[in-house]
Amino acid sequence: MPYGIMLALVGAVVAAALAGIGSILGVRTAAQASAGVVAEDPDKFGKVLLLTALPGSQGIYGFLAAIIIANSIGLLAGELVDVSVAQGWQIVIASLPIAFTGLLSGLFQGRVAAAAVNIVAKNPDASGKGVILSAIVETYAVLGLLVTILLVNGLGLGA
Amino acid sequence: MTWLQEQEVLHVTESKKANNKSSNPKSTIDKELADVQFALDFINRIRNELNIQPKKSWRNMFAGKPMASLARLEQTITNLSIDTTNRKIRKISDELARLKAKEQELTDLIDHLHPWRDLHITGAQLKGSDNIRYMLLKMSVQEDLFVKRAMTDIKTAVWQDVRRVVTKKRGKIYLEVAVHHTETDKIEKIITATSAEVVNLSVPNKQTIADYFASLKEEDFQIKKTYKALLEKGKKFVRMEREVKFAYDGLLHRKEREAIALKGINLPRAMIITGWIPKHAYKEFTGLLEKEFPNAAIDIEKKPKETPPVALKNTKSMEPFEAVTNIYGKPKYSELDPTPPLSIFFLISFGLALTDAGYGIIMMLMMWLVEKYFRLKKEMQKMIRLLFYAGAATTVMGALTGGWFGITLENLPESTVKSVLLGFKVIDPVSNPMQLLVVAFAIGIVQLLFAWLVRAYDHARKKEYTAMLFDDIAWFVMVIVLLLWAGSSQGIILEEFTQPLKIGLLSIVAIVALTGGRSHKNPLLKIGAGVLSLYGLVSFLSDTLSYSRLLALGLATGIIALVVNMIAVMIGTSIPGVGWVIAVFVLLGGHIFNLGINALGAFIHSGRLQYVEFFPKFLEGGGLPYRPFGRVSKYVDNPKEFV
Repeated sequence: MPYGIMLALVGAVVAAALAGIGSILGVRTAAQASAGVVAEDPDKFGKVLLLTALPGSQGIYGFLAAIIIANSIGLLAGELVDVSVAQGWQIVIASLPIAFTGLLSGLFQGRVAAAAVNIVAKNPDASGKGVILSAIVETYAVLGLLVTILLVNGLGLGA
Repeated sequence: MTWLQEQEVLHVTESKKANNKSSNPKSTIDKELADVQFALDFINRIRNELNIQPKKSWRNMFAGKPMASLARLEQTITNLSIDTTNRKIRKISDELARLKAKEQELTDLIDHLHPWRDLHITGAQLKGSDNIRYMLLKMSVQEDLFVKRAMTDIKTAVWQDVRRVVTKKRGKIYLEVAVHHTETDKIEKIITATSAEVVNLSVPNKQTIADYFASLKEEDFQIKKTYKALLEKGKKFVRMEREVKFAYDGLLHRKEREAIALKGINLPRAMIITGWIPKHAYKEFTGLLEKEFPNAAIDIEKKPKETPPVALKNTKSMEPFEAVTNIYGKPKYSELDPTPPLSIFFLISFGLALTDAGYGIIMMLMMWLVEKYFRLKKEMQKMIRLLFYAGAATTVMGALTGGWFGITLENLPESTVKSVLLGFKVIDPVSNPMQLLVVAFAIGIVQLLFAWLVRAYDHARKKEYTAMLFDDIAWFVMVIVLLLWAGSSQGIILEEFTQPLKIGLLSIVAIVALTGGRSHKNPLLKIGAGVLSLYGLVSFLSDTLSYSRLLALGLATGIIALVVNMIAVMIGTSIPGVGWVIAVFVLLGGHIFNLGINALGAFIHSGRLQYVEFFPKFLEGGGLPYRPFGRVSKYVDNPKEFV
């Protein structure tokens, strides 16, 4: 049983950590571009702040996936469920969709957001369009999250 | 032009027949601006060097610049003679630069002479004589023995330690050496063999090194005194700072007037200006115009396909939410103002993302205090009010989830307070996150369906009834029926109606599929595009999932608050005596940090949900903002901007 729990934890960790890294790198790229714009014109801060925050969603999705996994093995309620090694592996694999889509979509959404910051720099009134462009990349992270949630819930472990 | 600028209602556009060159070459405005800027920079420099701090009051934290009316600014330009002031400033500034350069020179020289300052040899003696070569050497401690031993071999060499400067790891020895000129090369051999250097001092012939050193020091002291005196002279300009700032902004306004005048048509005896003015300001404007300029004429022309600039106008209670819309940008003139629809959803999202009633109360308190105590500009006041409402929403949500500064209510001792607070609590986020997730999805679904209703309203307004029926109402009904059917087939609600719901669902899906592609001429394409349009369900699903972030953010706040409390209790109980004092600091610091970071996140993500999931359903944005010809400000504020 302890190995099963360990594998389930690995699943949760992989989801949270990889998606989080995607967000970290994405937000960093966007924030660097934003800093350049704000250096020239501090009044644009609100608009670039929004764009910088957009790639942060993947970290949140990874966090959610980890919570869902932790909840399914009874970690949050305080009563650990019996998890066999096979079930542990199932959870690890179920966590992969959000892990990878979160990592890569966060990374690339950051680049799109940085490019959208350019829109704000040259034409602040069109910043909304930049936001939409950036959000399209996120759709796939959402789908990854959905797959993970469905798979983990479908496994139906204990809680 | 000045009168127009003061009125601040006309959004000026480029007149088509304007035939002006891009700028008037005779304008001296830019040079005047540069002059005043120079004066301001000088004042700042004096401020820094003499360490004069301007008096700042807390009340003006958000409004640090001085205020003046346009008339006052103009008056200042004429009163303050920029030319003479600048000439005086230039003189002082140049003199200061010269003194600084001289001082640097002296300092270098003094440093160079420093180790030799006690020698009483004149410059003439330093140069040596016919027979004797005189040298000053500098070498490191490690080579001391080697050099000296080598020099004992040289018969005519005499030397003496002038100074030893020894620090922990290294040291330098300063040596004076005299040798007969025939044996100079031997000394030079020693010098090249080691890292010793010959030091050259340029001392005047009649003075000894010591005297020269002293005289240099005296000169340095004098220069420093003169410098300080000059700074004091510059102090009187610091008192003029406010006037100089007014002059700068006054010139800035002049420049703006010149620029705007170029957009109009300039005739020999008249000027024509074209622009936009809001309807509600029109009457007052024309009334005032008649009084001031009875010979002026106004002509209104309506052209097709015009894009007027956009300004938002909402009721007093909705106004704070304009702060959210403004971050996105203005909607097009033909589109709806999204501010009223987004208001309630923004508040609910914010509350759910920052679920802690204690934090909500603190936010409300702080915002109320800020509005009472500080002097605020109108734009800032909108934001403060918005945050106040958001705090209220957070309190409600926090009470519903039992979050009060992260304290687990069940652990409190029994009391009426506890039972009252527990009475509010409906969901426990930490032990039952799935329930709260469903709530977040529900909020998302409601807002998304509402977006379609808003779009239906927009279509109805534009009399596009087919679009309203098939694009908006049909989808609205379809999703609702879909959810009802899903719920009833799983046995959650309306179990008896599963079959009728299924039929209803299939029929409405068919309607949507058939009408989705109605813009195509080809019937095959019609059906194909219609079926493809059902893909919109996938994007609906992905939008709904996006709302799960509210759960995540809310959980994050709750858990961090819990941890802060845990740490504080641990510190309080483990360290005797001082423990509780430290615990109080931990609590304060931790909760303030948590509130700050998560309030920012809640604001941004709630906003993001509006901009990405809600707005695009019924508006495209990109409207030209209404920027009337009026005040500009760099150093001076407009008193009308304040509440």
